[in-house]
Amino acid sequence: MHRRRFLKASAVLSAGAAGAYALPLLTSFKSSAETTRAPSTKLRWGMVIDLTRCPDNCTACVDACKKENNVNTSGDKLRDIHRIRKVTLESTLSAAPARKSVPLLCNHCDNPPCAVACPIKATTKREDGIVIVDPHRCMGCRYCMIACPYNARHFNFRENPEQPNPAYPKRQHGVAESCNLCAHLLDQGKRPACVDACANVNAQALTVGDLNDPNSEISTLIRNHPVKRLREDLGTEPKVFYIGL
Amino acid sequence: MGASEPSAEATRNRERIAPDRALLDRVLASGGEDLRKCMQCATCSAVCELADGRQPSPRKEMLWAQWGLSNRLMADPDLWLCHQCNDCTSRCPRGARPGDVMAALRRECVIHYATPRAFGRWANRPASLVWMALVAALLMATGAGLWQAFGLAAAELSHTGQRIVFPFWIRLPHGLLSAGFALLLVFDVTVLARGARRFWRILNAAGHKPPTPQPVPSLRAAFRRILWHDDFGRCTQTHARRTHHLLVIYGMLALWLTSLWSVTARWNPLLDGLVYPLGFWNPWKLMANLAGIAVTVGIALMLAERWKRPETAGATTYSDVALLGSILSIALTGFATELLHFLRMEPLRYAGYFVHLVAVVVLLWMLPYSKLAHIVYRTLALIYAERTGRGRQ
Amino acid sequence: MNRHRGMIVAALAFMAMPMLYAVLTFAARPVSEQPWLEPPLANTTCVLPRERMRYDHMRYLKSLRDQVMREGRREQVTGEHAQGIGSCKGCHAHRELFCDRCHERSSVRLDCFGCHAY
Repeated sequence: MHRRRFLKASAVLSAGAAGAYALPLLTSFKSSAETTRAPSTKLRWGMVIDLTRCPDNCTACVDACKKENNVNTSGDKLRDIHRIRKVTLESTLSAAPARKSVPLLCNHCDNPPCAVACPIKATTKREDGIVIVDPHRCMGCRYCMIACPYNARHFNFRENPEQPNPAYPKRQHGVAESCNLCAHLLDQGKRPACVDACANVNAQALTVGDLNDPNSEISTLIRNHPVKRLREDLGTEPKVFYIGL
Repeated sequence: MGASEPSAEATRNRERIAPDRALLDRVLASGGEDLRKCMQCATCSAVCELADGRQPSPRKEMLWAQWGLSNRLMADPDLWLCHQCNDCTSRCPRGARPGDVMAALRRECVIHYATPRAFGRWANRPASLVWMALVAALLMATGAGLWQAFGLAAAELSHTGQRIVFPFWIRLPHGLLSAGFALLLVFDVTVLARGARRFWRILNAAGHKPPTPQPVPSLRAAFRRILWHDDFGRCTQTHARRTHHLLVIYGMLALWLTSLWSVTARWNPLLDGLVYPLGFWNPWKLMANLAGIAVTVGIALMLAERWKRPETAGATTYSDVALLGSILSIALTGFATELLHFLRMEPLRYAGYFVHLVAVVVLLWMLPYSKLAHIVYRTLALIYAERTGRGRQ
Repeated sequence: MNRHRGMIVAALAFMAMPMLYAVLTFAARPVSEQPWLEPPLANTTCVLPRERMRYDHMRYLKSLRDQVMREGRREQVTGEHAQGIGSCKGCHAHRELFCDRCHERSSVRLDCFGCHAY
C-alpha cells in the first residue's frame, strides 16, 4: 500500500519536474516560427521600384547605400558586397526596350529561403517583414548565400578598413550580410538610404511603405500599376514589386 | 740707428691692430651709447668684486670695445665672469655705463659663436620673436594636420594598454610633439656645443695662464659657484637679483624635470598603473605648479627692477625683453592651459595647450642665439677661471 | 648668504620628492586592485545603476540588441542613446581609459569595436 502511493507520488512529481524543465525549451522553439509566418495585421514593409522612372546610368541608390551602411567596394568582382546593385537586363521581346538597368536588392521574401537555411537563426524575418542578419550570431557558413535565388546575399571576405558612417557598425571578416531595408532608419521613422537618394535626384523610382495599410503610397502604387516580382514561380513571395519590368 | 730699427724683443710683442668697425657700431647701437665717454680711470675695475685684480675689468673691455678689437673681446673670460650687477655703472664718474657695454659685448659674443651667425643676428632684432612664433605655430599645425591625414594619430591612440593614453593625441599627436621637440633639442645642443667648443679653444689659445693639470677640482668649484650663486651675492647695488635669478633658474630646472618625466612616461617602468592626466595633488603636478609660480614671480620681479630702477638694472634692450617675455609667456600660458584643463573647457583647452607649445618652441629655437646661451659660455668661463686661478684677487 | 643657501638646498630637496614618491609608490603598488577608470562627465546618470551595470552590461547590451534589431523596438534607445554601444561615448569619452582598463586587467577580449565605432 505504501509502495503504491510512493510510486504514484514520484510519478506525478517527476512528470511535474520534467514539465517545469521542459517549459523553457518549448517556449524557445517560438523563434523558428518567425521565419515563415502569415502576414500579421501590423506593419509590413515592402518596396516598389518603378523602372519607368529609373535612369539607366544613375547609381544614386547604390552610392547612398554604400555610404550609409559602410559598404566598402574595391573593384573585386568576386568579393565585393552589393546590398543593392544595378543589373542590365536584356529583353528578348521585341516590343520592350532592348536593355534596362534594374536595381536588385534583397526582396525580403515572406518565405525567405535564407532564413530557413540558416542553421543558427542568425538570419530571421522580423515581425514587420524585414529579413535581417544578426552579425553577432552569424558564423559564416554561407548557407544563406547558396539558398537565396536572387544572389542578394554577400559575404565579408575581409575586414572593412573604413567606417565612413560611425552611426552604423561595419561588419567583421566572416559574416554574411544583405540589404535590411535600412531597418535602423525605418525603425526611427526615416527612409532607407536608397529611397532617400532616389528622391534627392528627383527620380523617385524607389518607394518603401506599409503593405498592410491600404492607404499607403506603396499600396496605391501596387493597385494602380501592373506590378511584377522576380521569380514569382519559386514561391518565395518576395516583397519588392517592380513596375515596368 | 736707435729709433728706426726696433729691437727683437719689441718685434716679438708687436701685433697688427685690426679694428672691427662694425662691432663698435653695433655696441654703440645697443646699450653702449656712452662708450666713448670712458677715460680709463679704472674706477669700474676697482669697484668690481668679480674681476681679476691683475687684469682690470671692465676697463680693458671698454678700451677694446672703443677700438673694436673683436679678436681680444671674443677670447675674454672676464666678459663672462661679469654678472651684470652694475656696480661699475653706478660708480663711473663719466657715466660711460660699463655694465651696459659688457652686456652688449656679451650679446655680440653669443652671436659670434652661434651658427648660423646671420640667424643669430636676425633673432636679436625687434619683432623676430613674433615671426618665430608664427612660423612655429604654422609648422605645428601643419605637422598635426599631416599626422592625422596619414592616420598616424589614430594609430597611436589605438595603442591601448594599462598605461597611458593621452586624449589630446588626436589633436596634438604625442609622437609628433616628441619628435619635434627632440629635433629642437638636438639643434640646440649642436649649436651650443659648436659655440662652446670654439670658445673653449679660443680661451685656451689666448693663453692667459697655462691651465692646471687637474680638471676635476675646477669643475667642482665652478659648479658650486653656480649652485649657490655666490657671485651674484658679491654685488652691492643689486643683491635682489640673486633671489630673482635663483627663483627663475630653479623653477625652470624643476619644470624641465617634470617635462622630461611626462615625455618619457610611455616608456617609464615606474609608471605602471599610474594614469595621465595627473591629479592636482600629485607631487609632480605640485612641484611643477610651484616651479611655475617661482618662474613667474622671478621674471616679474626682474621686469619690475628694470622698470623701477633702470639706473642700477642697466639699459633694457630688445634681447633682454625678448628672453624675459618668452619665459614669462611660457609660464603664463602653462597656467592658463592647466586652468582650462581643470575646467574641462573642451575645445579651448587644446587651443591653450597649442599656444603654450608654440611659446616653448620659440624659446628653444632662439635659445642658442639669446641671452640664455650664457648657460654655456658663463659656465665655461667659470671653469676656465677656476682652472687658471683667475678672479680671486 | 646662508639664507640663500638654505633656500637652494630646500628647493633641490623638494625637487627630489616627486621622484622619491614615484619610486616608493611603484615599490608599494598593490598587486590586484581595480584599475583607475576615467570618471564619466559630471551631472549625468547612467542608464543602469553602477553595480548593476558592472555585472550586467553584457547581458543588457545583448537584450538591447535583440530588441532593436530582431524586434525593431527602439523605445529604450531614444534620443542620446540612439547609437547603441556608441552612445556610451557621451559620458565615457575614451574607451581606452574606461572599457579597456578592466577588460585588459581581466583578460576578457573586447570584440565590440571591430564593428562598432566608438
